[in-house]
Amino acid sequence: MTRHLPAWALAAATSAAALMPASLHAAEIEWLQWFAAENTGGFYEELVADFEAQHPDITVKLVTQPFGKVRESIVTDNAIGVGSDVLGLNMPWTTEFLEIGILEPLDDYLARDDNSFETDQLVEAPLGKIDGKTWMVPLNAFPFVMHVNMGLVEQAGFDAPPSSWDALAEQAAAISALGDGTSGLGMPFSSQPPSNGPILTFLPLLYANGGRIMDGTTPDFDNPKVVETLEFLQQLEQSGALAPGAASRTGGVDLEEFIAGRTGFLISPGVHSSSITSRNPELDYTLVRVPSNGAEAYRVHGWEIGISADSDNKEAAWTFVDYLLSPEVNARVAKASNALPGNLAALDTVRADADATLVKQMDILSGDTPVEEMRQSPKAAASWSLMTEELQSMLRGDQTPAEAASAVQARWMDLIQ
Amino acid sequence: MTDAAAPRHVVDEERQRRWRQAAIYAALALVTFVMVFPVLWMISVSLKPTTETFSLPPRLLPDDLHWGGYAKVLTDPKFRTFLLNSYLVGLAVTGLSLVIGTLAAFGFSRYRFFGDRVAKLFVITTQMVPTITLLIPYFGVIVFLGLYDTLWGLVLTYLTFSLPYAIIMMNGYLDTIPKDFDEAATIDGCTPLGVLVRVLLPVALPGIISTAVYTFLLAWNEFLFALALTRSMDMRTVPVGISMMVGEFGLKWDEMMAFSVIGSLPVLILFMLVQRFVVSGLAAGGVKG
Repeated sequence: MTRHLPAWALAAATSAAALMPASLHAAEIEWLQWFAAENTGGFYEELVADFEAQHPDITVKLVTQPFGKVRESIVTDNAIGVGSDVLGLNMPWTTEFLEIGILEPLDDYLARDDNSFETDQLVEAPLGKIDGKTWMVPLNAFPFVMHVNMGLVEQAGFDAPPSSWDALAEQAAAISALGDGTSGLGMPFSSQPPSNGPILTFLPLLYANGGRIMDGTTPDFDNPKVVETLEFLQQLEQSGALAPGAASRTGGVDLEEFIAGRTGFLISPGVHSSSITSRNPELDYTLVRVPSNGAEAYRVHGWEIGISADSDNKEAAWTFVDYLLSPEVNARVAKASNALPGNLAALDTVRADADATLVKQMDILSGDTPVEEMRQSPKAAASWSLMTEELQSMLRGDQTPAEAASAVQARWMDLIQ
Repeated sequence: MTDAAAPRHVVDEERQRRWRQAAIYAALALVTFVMVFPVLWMISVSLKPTTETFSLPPRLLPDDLHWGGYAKVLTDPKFRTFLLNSYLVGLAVTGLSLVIGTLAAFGFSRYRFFGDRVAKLFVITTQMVPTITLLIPYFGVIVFLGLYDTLWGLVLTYLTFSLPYAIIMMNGYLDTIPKDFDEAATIDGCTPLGVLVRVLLPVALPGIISTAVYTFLLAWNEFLFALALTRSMDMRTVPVGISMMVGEFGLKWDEMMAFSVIGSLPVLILFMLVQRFVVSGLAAGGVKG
């Protein structure tokens, strides 16, 4: 057919296509994330389809990577020039990405009047400014809690889960003493990524002790609260309260052993409750606030989203981010991941048909202070590797808690300089 | 009676021979156990509910067979796509490696030309570069060629790894075939390509099969480049699909092991069918006749 068309008609058609307003072309954006790998029920595919139905001028390509490879993928894709438009982010990656210039500042977008959400309703931790700008927004939030195997707690002679460090030490040691392969508490200090041991277990205990590892944007690891928390870990180890093999234990193994009923307590994100209850319905299970040593603060983690600085479709990317943060959609995302919503305006919707463990998380944590330090930590990912190494060494008895704290501080400062 | 009748040194030698044989069998059994146990454990975990995966003491046989992992993997179209992609890439890499590798090996084996030794040395040295160092350059080339996130991108990349091996292997094998065969066929009117196809290839069948198995295994098992050079679920292969099951907050042990078993089956079956050829092909390719 084409060869019979006059040349002028082809030229006119081509020119007309080229001159069409950009808005009439469908913008294609990519969303790189690992969330769809965590939720295999097709939820995110449906979410994208719903967005495209509402925005026929934008198509979204869902790019899913395993969690352990997302950070490298974002860096590599950016270096080669094939980076995605919307990025799933983990707060500890922030400073590294800012050094490379991967992220687009979101302040101008957040200041718009026509957004479907109120900025002051978003979970605060990811919004804190670095270099005077906001770089990410929260899709959802996972408060850290302590999961409890009530069956083992009762077998060890206790009626209620521990709420203080002293009670935790006593109950964990008593559960380990039950024998038969049971342990009080797991400490996943494996160096194998994505184990993230210290940030999974050590930081929640430190925050419940009123401590921090940062002084603003400077590492401050050798302060008395950190040393006190390390001493508590050492005490747990020496009393036999910790599960054996902390140095080779990953977060995944820690979770699996809890699900199998082999450990009494598991400190991890509240989101694990759905895995625990669905995979071992027989477990006599509850969850509580991480036992406190005087402070009511919890480590908050979550799935964040940002926009690539190199994106050619930033407007379309923001339209998609805005859609994800709208209360109705954000509530759906929170329910699908069994987490708290990133937009707190969605809280009531989530609570309306949340399961008992999610409601409990909301109740436990409604009055406590959320803490997240890794977002503004320099060389965050590398820093927890060296924390892992020094904590392993401390638990082996090769150094004291004070020496471990000093070693982490010195190595972290070296790393930055 | 026999022992009493036999001279003492003969009895001693017989005893020593039996002891040696027993020691060899014990060593072989130990090595086999070390090799096979992970596979047995993989099958065992694929048939256990999660609560039993970490039970103590560990048990190889589950109380009740749990087929949930297999059901999930076999009913999810995503996993079927991963399998199909692995087959397509594996077969394409194998076919192209054999055709190109055999022609190149034929040239190296049967002809002397300017720079042939240097070219052969170059082929060998390409195998000495750690593949991880090639990731970023390959990434750039594949993007430049417009093959990023395509199966052809993977095929092209894997060819660069499999071809040197295919050339070296086939060259070694063709060298073991006397040149008298070529001369006889040429006298009978065969062209050089005819000599290769009609005379040498039928004789070199074990070498071809072992090369094919190696290249297929390479493409089937490769993870790093498959992860880096694809981004759509439609383009993922089996190893990447398995890695997707390692989540931020835990592992789906039964599904991961079920998919690993399913992913290993084609390779196992293939190897069992052709192992006779592979062993003879590898042995013959390793010597120059």
